[in-house]
Amino acid sequence: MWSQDSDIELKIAALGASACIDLFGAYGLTLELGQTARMQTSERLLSGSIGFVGRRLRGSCLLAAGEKPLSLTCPEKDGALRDWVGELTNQFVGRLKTKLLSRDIEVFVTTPIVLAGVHIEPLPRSRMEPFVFKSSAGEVMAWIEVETEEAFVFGSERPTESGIEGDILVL
Amino acid sequence: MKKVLIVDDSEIIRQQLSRALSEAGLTVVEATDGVDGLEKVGEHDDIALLILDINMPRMNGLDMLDALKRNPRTASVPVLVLTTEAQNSMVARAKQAGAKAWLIKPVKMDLFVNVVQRFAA
Repeated sequence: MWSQDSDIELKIAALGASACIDLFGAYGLTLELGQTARMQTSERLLSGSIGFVGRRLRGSCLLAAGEKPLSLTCPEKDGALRDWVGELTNQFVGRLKTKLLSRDIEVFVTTPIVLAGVHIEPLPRSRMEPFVFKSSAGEVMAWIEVETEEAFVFGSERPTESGIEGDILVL
Repeated sequence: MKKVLIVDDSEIIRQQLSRALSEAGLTVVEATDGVDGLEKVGEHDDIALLILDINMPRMNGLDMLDALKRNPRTASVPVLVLTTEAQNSMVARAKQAGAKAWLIKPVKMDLFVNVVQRFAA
C-alpha cells in the first residue's frame, strides 16, 4: 500500500534540493535556499514537471523559474525557454536519480510537461513544501512529492559504478 | 566532411551540440526523437556517427539503438549515448547493442567534440 512517509520524503527532498543547487551551479548560477516556501515574484514563470517510479517508490518533481534565471543558464543565447525548462527539469531529475542510485534506489522517469503561469505553486498532499532558492537572477523553485510502499528502504550512500554528470564512459 | 546525426528531443541541446560540432568542421543533421532519427538515417547514407538521447517521446534512444543494430545497413554506425541517465542496466543494454560511449549531461563541449571526432574518424 502506498503512503507518504514524512521522514523518507524529507530525505529525498533534501537530495532534490542538493541536485537543484548542483544543476544550476553547473550552468553558472548560484542558488541559496530562501526563507520561505512561496515564490515572492509576480512575474510569469515557466515550470517543468516529471514523474518517476521505481520499486516501492513513486513521485513527481517540479521545477519553476522566471525568465531571467532560465535565460542566464541556457547554453544557447535566445534559446526557446519552453524547451530549456523542459531540459533543465530533465537534468534536475537526472541528478536526483543519480543520488538515489547511489543508495540502490532505481527509478524510471517520464518525459517532462511544461507549464507557464503566474504564482505557480504546488498543492502538496503531505506537509512537504517546495524549496524556493534565491539567486542573482531571481527565484527558482524545486518541489518533490514522494510515496513509498511499506518495505521501501532508503539505503546508505555508497560508491557506485554508475557515472555522474559530465562523465564519459567508453563502452 | 564527416556527417553526424544528433537525436534529442530538446531543441536547445540539439542547437548547442550542432554549433559545437559545426565549428569543429563536421556536418550535422538533427532529429527530434527515435522515429525521426530512424527516418533521417534512412535519408542519409553517409552518417559517420550518431549522438543519441535516451528519454524521448514516440521512441526512446535504447529502442532506436536496437532498431539500428537490427538493420545490416546501419548496424556498424558508431553511436554515442548522451543522456541524464546513469543506470547500469541501461548502460549495459546500450553496450550490448553496440554503443561506443555513454555521456552524462551536461558534458563539457570541448571534451564532447574530442570524443565525437575520435569515434567519427
